[in-house]
Amino acid sequence: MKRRMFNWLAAGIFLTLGGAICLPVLMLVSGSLADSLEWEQRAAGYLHDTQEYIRWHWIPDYPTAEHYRRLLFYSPAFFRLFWNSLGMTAGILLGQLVIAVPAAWAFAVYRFRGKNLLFSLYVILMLLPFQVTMLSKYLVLQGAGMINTRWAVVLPAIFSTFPVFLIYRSFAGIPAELLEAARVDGAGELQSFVRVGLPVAQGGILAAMILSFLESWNMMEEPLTFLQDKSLWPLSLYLPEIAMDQAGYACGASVITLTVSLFVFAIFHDALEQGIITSGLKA
Amino acid sequence: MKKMRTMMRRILALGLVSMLLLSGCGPSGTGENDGNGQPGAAGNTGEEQDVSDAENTEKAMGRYVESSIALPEGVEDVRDLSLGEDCLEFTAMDGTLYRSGDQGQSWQEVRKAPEELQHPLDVDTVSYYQRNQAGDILAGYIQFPQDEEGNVNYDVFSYVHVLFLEDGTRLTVDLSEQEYISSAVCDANGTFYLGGSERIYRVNGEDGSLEVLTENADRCDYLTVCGKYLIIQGETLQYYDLEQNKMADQDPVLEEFLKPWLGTWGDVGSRPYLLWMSGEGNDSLFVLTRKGLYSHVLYGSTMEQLIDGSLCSMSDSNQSFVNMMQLGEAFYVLYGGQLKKYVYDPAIPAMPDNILRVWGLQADEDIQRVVGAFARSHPDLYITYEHPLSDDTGMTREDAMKVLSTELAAGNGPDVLLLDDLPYDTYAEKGVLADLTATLDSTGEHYMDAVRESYRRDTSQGQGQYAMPMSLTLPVLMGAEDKIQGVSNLEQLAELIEQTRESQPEGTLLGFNRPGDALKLLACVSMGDWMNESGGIDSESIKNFLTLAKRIYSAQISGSTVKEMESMDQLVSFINGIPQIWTQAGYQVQNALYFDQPFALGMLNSNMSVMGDYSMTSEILEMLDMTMVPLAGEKGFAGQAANILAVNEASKVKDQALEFVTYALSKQFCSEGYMNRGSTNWDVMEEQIRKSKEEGVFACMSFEDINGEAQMVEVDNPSEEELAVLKQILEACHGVSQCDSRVYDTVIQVGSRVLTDEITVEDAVKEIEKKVTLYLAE
Amino acid sequence: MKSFLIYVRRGGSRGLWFLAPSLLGVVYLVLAPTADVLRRSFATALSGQWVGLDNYRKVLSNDAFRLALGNTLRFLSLSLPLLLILGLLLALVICRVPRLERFKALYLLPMAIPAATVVLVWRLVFSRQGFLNARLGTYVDYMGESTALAILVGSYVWKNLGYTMVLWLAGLKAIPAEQTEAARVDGAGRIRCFFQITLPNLKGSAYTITVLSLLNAFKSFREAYLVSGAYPQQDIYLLQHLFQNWYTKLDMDKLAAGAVLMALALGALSMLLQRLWNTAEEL
Repeated sequence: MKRRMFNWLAAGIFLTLGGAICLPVLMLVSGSLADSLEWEQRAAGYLHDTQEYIRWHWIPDYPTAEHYRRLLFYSPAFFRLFWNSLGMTAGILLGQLVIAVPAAWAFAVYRFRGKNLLFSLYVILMLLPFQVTMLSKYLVLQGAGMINTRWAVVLPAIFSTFPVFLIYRSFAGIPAELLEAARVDGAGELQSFVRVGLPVAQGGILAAMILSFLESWNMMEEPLTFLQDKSLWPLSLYLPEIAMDQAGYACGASVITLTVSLFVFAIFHDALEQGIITSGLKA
Repeated sequence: MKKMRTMMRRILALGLVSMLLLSGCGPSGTGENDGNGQPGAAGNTGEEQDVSDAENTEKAMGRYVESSIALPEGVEDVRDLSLGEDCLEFTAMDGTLYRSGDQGQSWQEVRKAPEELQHPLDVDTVSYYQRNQAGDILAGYIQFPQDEEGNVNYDVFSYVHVLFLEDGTRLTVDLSEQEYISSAVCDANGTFYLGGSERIYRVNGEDGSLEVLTENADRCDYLTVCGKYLIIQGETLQYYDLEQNKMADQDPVLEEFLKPWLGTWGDVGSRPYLLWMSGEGNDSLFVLTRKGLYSHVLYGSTMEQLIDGSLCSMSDSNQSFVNMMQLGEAFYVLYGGQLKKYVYDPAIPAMPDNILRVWGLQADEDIQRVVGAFARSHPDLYITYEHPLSDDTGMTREDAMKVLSTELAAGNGPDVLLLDDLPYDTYAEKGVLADLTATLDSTGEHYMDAVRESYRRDTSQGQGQYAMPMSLTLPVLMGAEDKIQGVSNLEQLAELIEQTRESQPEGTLLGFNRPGDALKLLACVSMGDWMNESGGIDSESIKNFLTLAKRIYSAQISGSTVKEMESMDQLVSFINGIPQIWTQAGYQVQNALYFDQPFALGMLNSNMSVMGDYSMTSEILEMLDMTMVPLAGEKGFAGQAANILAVNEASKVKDQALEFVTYALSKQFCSEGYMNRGSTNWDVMEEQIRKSKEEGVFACMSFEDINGEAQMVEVDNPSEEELAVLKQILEACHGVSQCDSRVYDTVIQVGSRVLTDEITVEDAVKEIEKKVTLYLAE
Repeated sequence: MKSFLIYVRRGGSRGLWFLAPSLLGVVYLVLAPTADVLRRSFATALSGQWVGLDNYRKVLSNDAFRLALGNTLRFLSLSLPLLLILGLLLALVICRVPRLERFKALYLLPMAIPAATVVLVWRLVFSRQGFLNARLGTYVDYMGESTALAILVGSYVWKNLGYTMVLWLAGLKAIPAEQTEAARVDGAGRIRCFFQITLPNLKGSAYTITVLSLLNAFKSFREAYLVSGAYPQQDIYLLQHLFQNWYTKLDMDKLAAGAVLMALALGALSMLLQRLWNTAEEL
């Protein structure tokens, strides 16, 4: 009985907290449905810096799809950036699949001199903030003639050490017996990787890809620095430096940006769950 | 079962994704492939030019080159441009029609206009004039009544609308004498259309009778026929289907493209965009804007660039588009008074070989003009003007500076830098700026010494002057002579305002209401004192400033009426987009007139063009029987600089960059164009003074003041006396106030709370110190 | 276990083939720029003359650096434990009430919100005219007071809680049920069981989760920066603010030296965590 009570209580707290965590998202959705005039009235205090509070209504007084219409149909720029984002993100993810997955496999399965050191180096490189190496990266990319091309954003992201770190754990979770069995069956290195490694770590890889997706989809600093040509910019840079008088529009843009991420979540939700579980398998 | 659900969810999600993606393919998704359609469009890649890409790939050849067309002798101005059979025609101001069969090289007079249209037709009285292919002329003009002795009464007038058929028949158009028509146009069959404030008419060519097409046009600045549509251009674009006789759908792509210019006609007074039917029929049209010439098919998805505006006169904001024509391979554009021809030359590179990049945080019209003029005189140079913060992107000031730092450190930074709001000392110290001393010495022009002195630095790279501002403004106090005589700093101003408040308990004295605005205005006088020689902040001086600001602010606020305050709020919100206007002397003195205020404080600039700040200020001062005195800070009477030009030391086109700087400062440029601000070059001022005496300036504006009384300001050229006052003030200038923008922002931000009594002056200074120390400690 | 060891030894050199593409790219695009930063840390800002350890001396005696370092450490020491513990608690709740599993998505939602949008929400809530003030009837700029740090920590936890929770959950699920049951059979209580069986088994996950949380903690900068600019309230003036400001002032020399120091610290931390928790290396 006591246990049951405890469970109910825990579940209650869990759900309440979860609901609270989602409030900002609801705020965006509701805000995107309020028209510009309403925003102007509600946020008048903020806009003119007077002592008047911002008023909030969860349901807009005059709901409108004005912002979405403007974004989806009247803003060629928005769509150019949308496709840029999609293209760059797809390039990055594909590249990471080809580059980072085998690297993670190597780290997880093979033992070689300096492996630990190299792996630590990967981790440090992953943790260093972007500003630190920004100039040096720019110089390297400039030397390669890639500045102001999409490659300047895509290539460094492909070779980011982050997915290697993430995927590493799901490979490390493969039991040795499985690999040995494959060997006994006469599988070569590549075959072991493809036949044993990939299927087992599939979920983990997908999970890492989803994180990479969120990362690339919301990336700001890199394109800002490496792309001068605004027609190459991704969507993440379109979200205006949010001025309150444009708040409805900004909310709309955010919701659309967010929606794409949500679709990815929705499509791969189960896989993600699976994947995160395999990446923890090794414990 | 679970599998089934998962499956369903996936299908649903995929469906939604594809919906989202597909909506992008709609009207605008294909907008990327600009410039690949027509043969004439070679080499231009779209609205955002990708310069380095053009370098990397094969060099694209061919671009349109601009040339001026000489008008026949005795013709000064062109009213309209039209096409004859394989020839170009124009109508001069007196209505005479000229024709050229050789692309504008020579002109023959064809015929005179009907008698009635020859004479009253000077610039101010004709509201529209349109000639169709058949030679019929539709025109409207203003008629002022004349008495028997020939004296004209300009106070009452009526409109005359008249249609002259080709054979000379005169038909009266059936419109009221009071109805204003702003635009007339004819379609491919020669049928005329008229657009007024709300109504759009079709004119019957037989008898001059009218058919109302719509009564609901929200405003009509211009009309354009495009295929079967009539495009009504005002605050927005509206479309009328001439075949089905009803309003048609919007063209979102065109509307979005023209957005920056729609409805600005009344504010700017010049026409910043032009739509013109393309000869190819099928609803295609030419779109002429400051960005260049584009071609667009109505309801299509692309705007295809034909001519890049930044390489020719189109980008010059002084130019007003009147009309354009396409004849053979060439385009002809009629600007206000000038006829230019654009011919495609396949032999020259699409992009000039060398690129000169001009970079500033915010866009500035004066710089845009320099860029345009410099580009026209240097066809071998491609000049770009970047202003990241004015673009419609999410960039913050820090983001922009970060990108700039990267480029500067990597050695491929912009060639010309505008240091407004950027850290001059840091850049000079790090050696990224070129020394301008020798260049400026060699021009032979006479720049203000005090200004030059303010920018001399002794850095680890050596001593030199690494920047030079194009414009200067100076803080002045305006008021009745007997009251402001002897007031020369903020302390005396505080006393003056407090004393005046005692004798005048009600009514505004200095025209501000919000604390931030007040501080920004008062800071103009003293911001140069806030930092000491070693680059630290001078707390004593800031404390002093805030104390005085508080006294002045309290005295001002204590007597302002509610009505005045509301009205001030409205006025400030109105100019919100352009903060530098707020501190302008010309603006502040208008406030004085508006509120019937005894004093005004503002930044004066020496611009003496038609609506120039000085012409305006001196005129209103004269009306109010006021004068002006300089206000000095602790370190002396100092001004503020704008458009601070500097050259990147590592520039690959350094010679041209230096030339650009001297050109921007030169008498040749500054006294030709209409600058917004006053110059730092004495020669320019002398020239302006000479010109203003010679040509005279005349402008007229009127508004209702706070009491609802009409105020009329007729600006004429400043008198000798007024010019002497200006000269005296300019000569008194002791240098340029230099205050780090971080320090400035902090003082204004924290100081505002002192004025509203949230914190004491002492606490504010402590807070400022704390905030700024962090910055200075970096 | 033994057979795996042999397998690993024999395959060592061949494993490099899997790693090579990634390594090449990383060396070129990540390591080379980092090495360039190292070189710069011994040279003057733009002219590149050798100055030895001067830059390090300048940085270490720099007040702003000390402040930023202290703030960063404080932020990390507050937010990391909070996130890790809260995430673990939630994961435990789910373990006990498996029906809650499907509501996990609530917690994952914030991860997909772009930084620029988060800022809009912050402004609506915490500005002088924001909801918080409206609710409390006050007129305080929470982002400009000492509450700023709490907001930053809160927003970090809000954004990353879901992912951390899911990671812990994966770790928890991977603990062989036999172990816990065996302990229960031996008469261990619920709490003892947790400390003796569950926690030690989570060590491997803890390493990954901590490193990922650290990575995400550094990303909080973007939000702090977007909402209050380059000079925020003193308590949330982080190392990245300083780095960025040095960058815009073209102080590349100090930036490089600061970065090297940071990399060293991160390296030491990562090694330490690996030693402590990462069981994977002790095959």
